[in-house]
Amino acid sequence: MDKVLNMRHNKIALTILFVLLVFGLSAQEITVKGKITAPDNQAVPSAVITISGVEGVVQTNEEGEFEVKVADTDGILTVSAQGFYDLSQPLLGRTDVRIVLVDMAKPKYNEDLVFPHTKLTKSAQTSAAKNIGAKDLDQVHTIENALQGEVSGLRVINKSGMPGEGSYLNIRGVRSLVGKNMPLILVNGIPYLPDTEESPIIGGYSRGIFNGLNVSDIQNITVLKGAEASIYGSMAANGVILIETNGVSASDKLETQISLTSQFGLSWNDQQIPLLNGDEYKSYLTDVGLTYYANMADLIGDFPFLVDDPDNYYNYLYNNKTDWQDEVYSPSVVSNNVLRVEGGDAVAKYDISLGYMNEGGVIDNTKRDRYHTQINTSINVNRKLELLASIGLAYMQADLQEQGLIEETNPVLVAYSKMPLLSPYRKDPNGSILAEYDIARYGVSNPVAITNTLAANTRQHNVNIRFGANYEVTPDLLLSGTIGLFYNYDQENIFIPGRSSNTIVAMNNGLAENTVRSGAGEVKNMYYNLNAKYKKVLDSGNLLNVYGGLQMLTTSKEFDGGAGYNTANDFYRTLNFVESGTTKFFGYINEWNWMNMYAHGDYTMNNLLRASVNVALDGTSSSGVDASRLGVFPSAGLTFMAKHLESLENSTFINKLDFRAEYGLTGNSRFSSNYGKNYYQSTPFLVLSGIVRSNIPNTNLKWETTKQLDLGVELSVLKNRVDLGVNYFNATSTDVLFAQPVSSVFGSPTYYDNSAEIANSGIEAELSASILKSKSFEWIVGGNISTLTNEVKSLGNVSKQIMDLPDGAEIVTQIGEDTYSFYGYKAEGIFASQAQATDANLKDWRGINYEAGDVRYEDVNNDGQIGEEDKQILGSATPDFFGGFYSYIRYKNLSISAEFTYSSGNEAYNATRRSIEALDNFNNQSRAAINRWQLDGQVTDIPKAVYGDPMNNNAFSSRWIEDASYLKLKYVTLAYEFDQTFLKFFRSGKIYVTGENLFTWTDYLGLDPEFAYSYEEAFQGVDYAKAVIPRSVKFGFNLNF
Amino acid sequence: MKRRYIYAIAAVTMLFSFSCTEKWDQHYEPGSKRVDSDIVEVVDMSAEEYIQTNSDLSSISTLFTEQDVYTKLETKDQLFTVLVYSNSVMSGAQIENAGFFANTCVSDLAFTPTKLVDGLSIKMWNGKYLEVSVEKTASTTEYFIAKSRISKIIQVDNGFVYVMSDAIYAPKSLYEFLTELGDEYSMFKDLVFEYEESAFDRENSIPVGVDNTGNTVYDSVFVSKNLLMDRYDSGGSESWNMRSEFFSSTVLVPNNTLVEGALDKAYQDVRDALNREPNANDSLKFEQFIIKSAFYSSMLTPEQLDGTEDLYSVSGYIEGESASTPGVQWRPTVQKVNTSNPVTLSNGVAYYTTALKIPNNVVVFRIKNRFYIWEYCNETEKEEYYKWEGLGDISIVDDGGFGPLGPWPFIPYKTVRAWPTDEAKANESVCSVELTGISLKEDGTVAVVMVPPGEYSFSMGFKSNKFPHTFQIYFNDELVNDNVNPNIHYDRTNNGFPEGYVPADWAAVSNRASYYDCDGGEIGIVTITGTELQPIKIKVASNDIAAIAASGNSKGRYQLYCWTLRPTENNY
Repeated sequence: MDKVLNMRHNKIALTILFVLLVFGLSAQEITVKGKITAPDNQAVPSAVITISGVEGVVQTNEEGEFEVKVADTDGILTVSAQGFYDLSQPLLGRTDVRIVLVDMAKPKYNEDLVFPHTKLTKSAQTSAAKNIGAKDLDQVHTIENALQGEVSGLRVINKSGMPGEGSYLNIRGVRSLVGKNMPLILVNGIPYLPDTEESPIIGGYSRGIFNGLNVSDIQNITVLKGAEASIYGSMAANGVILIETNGVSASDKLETQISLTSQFGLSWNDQQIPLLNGDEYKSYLTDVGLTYYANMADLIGDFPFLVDDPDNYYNYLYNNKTDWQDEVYSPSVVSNNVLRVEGGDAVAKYDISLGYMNEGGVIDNTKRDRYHTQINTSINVNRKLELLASIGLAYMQADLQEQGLIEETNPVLVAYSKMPLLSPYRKDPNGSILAEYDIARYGVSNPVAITNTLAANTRQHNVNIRFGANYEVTPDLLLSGTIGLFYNYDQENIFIPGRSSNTIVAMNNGLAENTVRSGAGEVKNMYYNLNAKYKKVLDSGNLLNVYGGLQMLTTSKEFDGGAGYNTANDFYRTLNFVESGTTKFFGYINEWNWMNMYAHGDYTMNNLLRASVNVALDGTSSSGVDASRLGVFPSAGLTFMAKHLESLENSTFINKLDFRAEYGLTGNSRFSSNYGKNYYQSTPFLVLSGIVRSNIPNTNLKWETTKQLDLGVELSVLKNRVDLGVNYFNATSTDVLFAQPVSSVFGSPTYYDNSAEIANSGIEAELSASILKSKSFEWIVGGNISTLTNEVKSLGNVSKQIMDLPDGAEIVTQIGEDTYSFYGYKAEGIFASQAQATDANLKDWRGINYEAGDVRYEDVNNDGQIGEEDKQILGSATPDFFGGFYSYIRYKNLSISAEFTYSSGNEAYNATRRSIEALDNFNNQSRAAINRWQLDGQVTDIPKAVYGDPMNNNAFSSRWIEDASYLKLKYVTLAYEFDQTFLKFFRSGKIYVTGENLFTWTDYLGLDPEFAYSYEEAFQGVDYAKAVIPRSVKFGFNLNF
Repeated sequence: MKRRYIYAIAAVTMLFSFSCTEKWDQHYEPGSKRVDSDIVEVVDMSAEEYIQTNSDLSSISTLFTEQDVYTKLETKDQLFTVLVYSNSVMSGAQIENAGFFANTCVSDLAFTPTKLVDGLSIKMWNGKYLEVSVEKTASTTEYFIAKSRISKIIQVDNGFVYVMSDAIYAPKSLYEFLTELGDEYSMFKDLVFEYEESAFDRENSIPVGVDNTGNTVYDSVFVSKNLLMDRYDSGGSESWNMRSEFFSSTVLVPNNTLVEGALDKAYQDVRDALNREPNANDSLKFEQFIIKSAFYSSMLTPEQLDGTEDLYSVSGYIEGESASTPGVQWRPTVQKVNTSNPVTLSNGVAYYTTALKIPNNVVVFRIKNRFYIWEYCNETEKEEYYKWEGLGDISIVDDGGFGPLGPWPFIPYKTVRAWPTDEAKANESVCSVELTGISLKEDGTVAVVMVPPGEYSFSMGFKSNKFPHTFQIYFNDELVNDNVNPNIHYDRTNNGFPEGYVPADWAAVSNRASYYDCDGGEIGIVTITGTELQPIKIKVASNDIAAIAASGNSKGRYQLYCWTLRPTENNY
């Protein structure tokens, strides 16, 4: 913020000086008077007033008043004042002007917008967009956190508490079933397409896309939701996020300045799933054991601890009360430090940052380190030619653990299943604890051994480079060219021990006593852009703004991995040493290219009406060879700025009133280049490897098309103290790629065609209100809300498609419903008594009657039998509405702010709970098992414990589908800002303490309702035991030297 | 104004916190249990507290106090099942040993009533197992423990209390019953326990140190085994023993008189049938029959024991043996038990035997002799025992033999060879030899074999040499088989073995172990009528051999090897 203030201050001073030296104030006929005030009604002194057509400037006096002579009152009045955003408005015949400026410190507010290939002020905005400026990124530590809950229509969901997993992003709903749904992200104008696949090496892990970027290097983020996105043609259907790193263009400082931004804190997890304690577990074990063992002696023989006998030789093994969840979680240190140096002279300017970030995970021994640098420079070769370069480099290293429903190695899942009577460490018969980890007992690994000895790590190298040149042909015409590169190299390894230590249960059906997986991936995006801009204030006073150009992108993505098992012992940890015949190799490769010609024009008439037009002509490599190669993506928008009506211009009540209508076409060609052509994949046959045809190519495959209507109102009232924006959108995506079912005769499972249609619509509202405002005290509240209606309109020749998840859960995409809805049985309770079960006379699919204690599923087709036909839609992860809100209170330099995010109406499949409430094995269970059905007549909602679950009580049903609505206190921050020299060392700065994710209000029965298994849409709302998002408290400071 | 906002925020916050806790607690915390049942009650107290505070259980409560049951319950950190009786049941209970009775009331596992299934046995503190039975109707289920109905179920904090309708007196187990048999059964008891030994159980013993010689010293857990009667499956897992509570068994107990009588009769049969004095092997065999025939791996009913169907005693692998031991045959029409007075055991039932016989097919395993004894006969004997018709040029052909296999002696493959006479060839007449069953005595002389009456499987061996002719075999003048292929290669038929010989044991010594000393090829079933032992006659005739020989085929000849009579199951 300071930078911006200083910059503006300098500009104003220079302008005044220049004007005073060169010109004198000329006398005119008409006197225009006015008063400039701040939102708190205080006068703004020393504001600089310019009026078009009038030479020279005037300044406001102490009362904020000014007076200027003009020849006519048709000009445009512009106000600049230190600490406030500039403001322009037409005089429209007024001689008495009343203006309220907007405070630059206003939280969550920014008028400097980054738009495709251009930068705008808010008043020149041509399309629905939301902007976040650097001043609101102070205490956040990732880009995803900066976006979460801040932008209506944008859903940001933290994937997990595993370091570096990042967040799932979605703008305005799921629009594609095969292609990407991720918004197009551009860093410094360069498309940023990192690998978003789930790791084939480390279970349940998918690396965050913004890992290599440091949030304190970010100057500006703009989220484009409206028609302007059409510029990016077939990459833009999912919206666009433009990220601008700190650039020298933002820094007009000619002196060297040094600043340090640091955060230190602790992350931890104090949330635990209640599990059965020792006695409760014994009771459960007796119940389930009696359904497995034919006699009591065998049960006690295998589980001797069921009888409390201190004389039993093995008693020392079972006399523990281990809280396994406590054992796998541990608090960790987090820190983020960036040292920045900026400066230069009139010819060359630079901005260099060096940073180190350390992010400890909630699971013991997980952490991520990042070393990064961002270098920005600009060189004015001459008055017309400017060269720009920005280079971002990052090296990242992470120690991780497996996640997902991997019963052998996910430490959290294993901690749930491990019986509390066992010890993490070996013991001798006297009860002394030894140094080694205890072996896996009763088929469950030792979670502590997992967190301490399972080695899963990644190493990444990230490079973002942009070189550009701007050539000013005339003051109105600018030519520019850009070359950009994004490169990421990612190496992932995992070694799962167990062969020597016996601490981790053998994987791969008991064959793999230890396991090695290793792989490396590479992503390379090259980008080229040539652009011409023309901006002209016409003689009529109307503004014409035109630009156009050509851009090209080539991408390649490759991952190669290998896996094998049973090295000679746990000392040998690489693929070189695995048992011969156990190795397999796998990977993926995809090249995807894009070319696009674009043009934009906007024309502003009488400051009242702005019309804008965009058109893109583009083609991608993913189109089929027989399909049309080029697509046209036009859009148009119209903005009516009612504030500039004569009747409202002087109103201090209404400070802004814009009505906007937009309609545009965008496309989605972000799917594999292989679908439209023949390709082959390797497959093993006995001990040989061969290749088989992978698909039936659809050579007519083309991009998906989204038509979107946007209607919006933006309103500022009460001296800019209340801002309200309401937007309605309606988007229909047609020609959506769909994997049509094909006959097995073809020998290939998939055939993609453009046959589906999906509709998304919603209303988005944003409000910010400065409830109390005085010089020393301020209270602002604000927030946003977005509704979302997602509906599948067509699936070509079929009405639904069911997808099986690995644990037998089913997800359906069905016409008339949300994409990816949960599909299973509806549980209607438990048969309390045998009489009740007999009355119901329900049978399972084999014809066996349900009995007392079994789950009663709804018999949809009333045939007395529960089968496939009785499955129904049970909900989906699409929320009814979501958003965020905040409260900011400032007293003098001290402020306290709280930010919340929320989501409502989204369901989740709690697969974690399903795996620990199965009541069908000897593992420990969630404490809900205590309410299991045990007695005839017992009224409960937990079925009986039966080994192997013969009656399918644990089937995928509404028992596991939960309302995952939540309200989260995302941040609460106490901050102190100073702008005077402190200790003769610091010029200005900010010190703060922030608590992150401290409270969540939810009915969800998992640790946290916020999770995302991966970037896959189908897996949203599927709780596969990801690491919980940590709570953290951090102390931080931003100091300028 | 400001205060109002703070109150509002606080109220909203509290509302949220309550609502989320409620759902979480409702799911994960123990709910107050609602049971719509007349006989089930859930109380929030321990078993001890419940029993002590229930006035109708005061008698059993007093007993528990006296017998330190409460003290033990309180010291153990676990869950229990406690069987209790109302005062009215207790007043009529026949308690012989108060400690034993009290310890029959508590089990170390908490048995959820709905997990009780038919056949489940519950081990009580006194080590006794009580069997569970369940009676289900369409809408009701009743549970019984040792035939006493569970009349009320109380879930307590540390398990379950079952109020039982009748007092339970834990029955003896089969093993206890055997060990406590009186003097009049001492012979049977001694026979059974002669095979019992204590074995060191390394798996359950704890290494406690190393002695001076470097051997590991264990805390030495020993387990009992009955070397004759313990049975295992082919994988080595226990399939039956008389000590376990988890096998339902029947034992038939003979008194000393019966045992003595059965043995005496068998010894006499040996003398009569086999023409020798009984030896130690016979004694062992007869005694083992008496033991084996007493144990059955199921609950036999009086109907079965009084019926006409043969029963077979417990079978399976004996430890260390390579083949499964079949159960011995119990013929209810011969052997008798007192079915009117069975003894109920915790793991089965016992009956007292009233008539016991060692069956003929046990006394006589088989009678086998070789025809080459001919060479040991003097001329008179040859004339008497070998009556040749149309055959001449008699000689012995020695083709070597098979063995020995360890202690099993060498078996010579010698045959008696005879050729059709020229006359027979000319007339193409029937050739035959009628043989009297004789055996070679130890002194090298021969004796006529006297065979007890009864049904036998009759087998013979020749030599296999692609002989083209057929035989007609007569036994005691009756045609048994009119079309016998003579190519039965000595006795190597894999049909029957010498007593005690197990081919699998010798398979590693010889891959032909299963050919050793077999019976020969079965000719048919023959019956020796009458009541006395008698000699047998075997006639081997051929109606085509003369013509074959006449045609110049040198294979038209007799080569006789052996004959065998093996008592059938019907020869009891």
